[in-house]
Amino acid sequence: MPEDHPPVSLPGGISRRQFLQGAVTLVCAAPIASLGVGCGGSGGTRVIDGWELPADTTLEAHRFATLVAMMDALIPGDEVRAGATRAHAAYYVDQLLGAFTTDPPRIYAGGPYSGRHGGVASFQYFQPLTRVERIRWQTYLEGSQGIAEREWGGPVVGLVERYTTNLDALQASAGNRRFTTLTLDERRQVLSGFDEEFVRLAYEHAVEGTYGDPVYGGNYLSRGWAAVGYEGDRQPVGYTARQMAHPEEG
Amino acid sequence: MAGSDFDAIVVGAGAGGGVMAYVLAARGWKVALIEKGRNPYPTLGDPVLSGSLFGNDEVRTRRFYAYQDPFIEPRIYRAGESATPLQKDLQGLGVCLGGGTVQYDGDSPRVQQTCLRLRSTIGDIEGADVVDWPIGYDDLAPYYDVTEQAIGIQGEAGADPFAAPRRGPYPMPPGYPPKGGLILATGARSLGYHPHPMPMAVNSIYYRGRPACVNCGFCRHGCPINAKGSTAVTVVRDALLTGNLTLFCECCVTAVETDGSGARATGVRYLDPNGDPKTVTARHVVLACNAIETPRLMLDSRSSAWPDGLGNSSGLVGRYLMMHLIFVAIGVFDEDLRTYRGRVVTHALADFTVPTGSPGWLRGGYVELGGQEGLISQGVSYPWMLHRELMLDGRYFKRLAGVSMMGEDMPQYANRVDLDPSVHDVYGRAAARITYARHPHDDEMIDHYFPKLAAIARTAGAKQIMQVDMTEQLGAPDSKHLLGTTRMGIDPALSVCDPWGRLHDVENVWIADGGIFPTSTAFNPTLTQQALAWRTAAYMADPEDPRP
Repeated sequence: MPEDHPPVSLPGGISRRQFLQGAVTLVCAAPIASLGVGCGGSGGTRVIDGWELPADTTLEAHRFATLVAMMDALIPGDEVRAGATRAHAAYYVDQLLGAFTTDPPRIYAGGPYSGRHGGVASFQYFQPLTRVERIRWQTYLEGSQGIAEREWGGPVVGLVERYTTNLDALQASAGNRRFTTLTLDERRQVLSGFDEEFVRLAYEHAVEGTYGDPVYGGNYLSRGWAAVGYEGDRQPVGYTARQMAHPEEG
Repeated sequence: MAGSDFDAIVVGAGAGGGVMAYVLAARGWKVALIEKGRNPYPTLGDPVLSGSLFGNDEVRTRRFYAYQDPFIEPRIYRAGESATPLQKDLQGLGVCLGGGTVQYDGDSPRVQQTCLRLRSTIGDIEGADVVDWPIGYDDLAPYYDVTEQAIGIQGEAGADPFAAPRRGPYPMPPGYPPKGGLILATGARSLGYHPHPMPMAVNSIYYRGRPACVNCGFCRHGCPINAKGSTAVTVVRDALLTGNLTLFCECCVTAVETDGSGARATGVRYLDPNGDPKTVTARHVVLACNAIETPRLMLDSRSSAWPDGLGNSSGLVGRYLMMHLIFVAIGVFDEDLRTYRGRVVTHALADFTVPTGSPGWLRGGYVELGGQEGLISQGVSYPWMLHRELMLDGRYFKRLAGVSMMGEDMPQYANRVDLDPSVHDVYGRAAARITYARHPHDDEMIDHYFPKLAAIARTAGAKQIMQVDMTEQLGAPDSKHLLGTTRMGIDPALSVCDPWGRLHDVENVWIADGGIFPTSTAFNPTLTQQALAWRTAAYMADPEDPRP
């Protein structure tokens, strides 16, 4: 639901509407580091190290800035194709970390249609969780916190804590500079020597946030799909026999 | 029901359990169908079935929506009794109404006659307990016929020269194929093989109240429009409409209860959706949880009568785990194929299922042509450093098509499911522990057939071939074809079930999943599981006249 996304904020006070009205070339020409994530909720935006960020994220602002810079390094875009930054992959992660701030939690989108190709749009109506699913996702995100029903397999460190701890460590690994101010190559260099398990986890989230359905907070304006020439969800229209027989036609 | 709550309790609403529930309910039995997962079909019991809660959405699948979730139900893998145990995301199947048939590709071939006569065909194999099935193809064929009608199978009768005989056409013709499947079929044909439309549980036309497939390409994420014939939207729905079926969703069965002697089951214990322990009783109990979860439940159902697990006097419950050797030759083409458009697989060939009589490789298995990987699952499979080259630059994305074999793995006593002594799941149950290692024949089969699969892809135009052995890639065997752990046979010392799927030891407990397969066969197993379940249900309802 592109129209349901938080408003995009761009450098220099350019409104989302102005942006959508034809500023594609501006976006393409803008250096990624100054473009920032550009998405935020009703709480407005703030600029940190040249990255324009939403003000109401689950993660504290400087950590979110580090996350944006990390995602950007994991899936960099180019002048034409959006990477994790312009797809708002960091916002996808933040939405997951704060999934339980809404009810139902933002875990499983509704179905069967997004509404982009017809049918009644229902993805935005997230599904209520079952009791076991709720335990599962609260444990996974918040950690077990000594709660008995969450410790079937022993203590669990939650995803929120894993991100905050590792983002702080990532910042520290940049030495006396800020990770967010490093060049793309420098950030990729840092990540190649960083905690492998965390980088792997973050990369998987970067992929989900870049190419997943926009309802989860990433793939803003379907930019991730456009970057790789993918049509995205297709129900209820699907593909015709000709579209299957002639994939070269796009 | 003579003091019981139900005539039958069916545990697990997947391939076999769904069929079982329908056949019994249609014959007037009061049936309880207990499913651990949720019901993603809000209108399942309504006069008109419309839509589902699934969507063209990879993210929810990545989050294990309606699926085996290793975070809450971990599984342990060992390569041998003394090998280091690993906690792995393995053998995942759907956990919801419909079970594995919700996210499967829908491949629905029948087996060949020789599949059920493997020992007679190839003789003894050292290190494996190869046996003939206690039933033959002719015993099974009538149940295939009715199952294909009930589920709705598309296919082309007579197109596969190696296929077992059938009485008539498929319920519906093959659907449109995408280019990837077509060019691989052309390549195979030019090498002298016999590709044909894959029999599939996907509607090519409007069928029994469900629409034709629109080729959205998200079969593995649950069909949003119910064009795929999961057991949920076919037989479970049909069972609901009889008025004789009661659904228990989000209920986890923790044990089968028996009378004091252990000779008869009285019902099951389960945790209800609130997590409260409950008991339900019935004249019969059917276990259809899959060939890992059923033996897990049996081994967990210990009592004074069954100290080693329910119905386990043979010591074979959990033994002879098979899961097919699934290996793939992935072709990289220099043109866009976009195999994500349409069904996952559209063509197949059975040329490699013919026993060769050679001492090393005996035979292979059914071969699927096509294959697809979702955008996200493909992206996460690459190292992040190569993302731009392989995804953004399109070197792989949109240009892959695969040739994959369902190789028949050997039944080995040492390959088994048991209970892990230290790892538990969210329900407090001991985790399933998988012990599995390949037989030498299995390795020889892969060595022999990989080049043949690659040749098909190369002949079809692939410029580069990637040979993928999923077991090597994951460091553990992974498959959704779970078979053999409660094998059927005539001798109670050498099998767990009788030829009708009934436990030798407990007269009113029946198995209706892939566990009863004595050998894995050379074909995708779902339709056979369903036909066997139909046969078992018909026998339960009328042992004197178990016609379908």
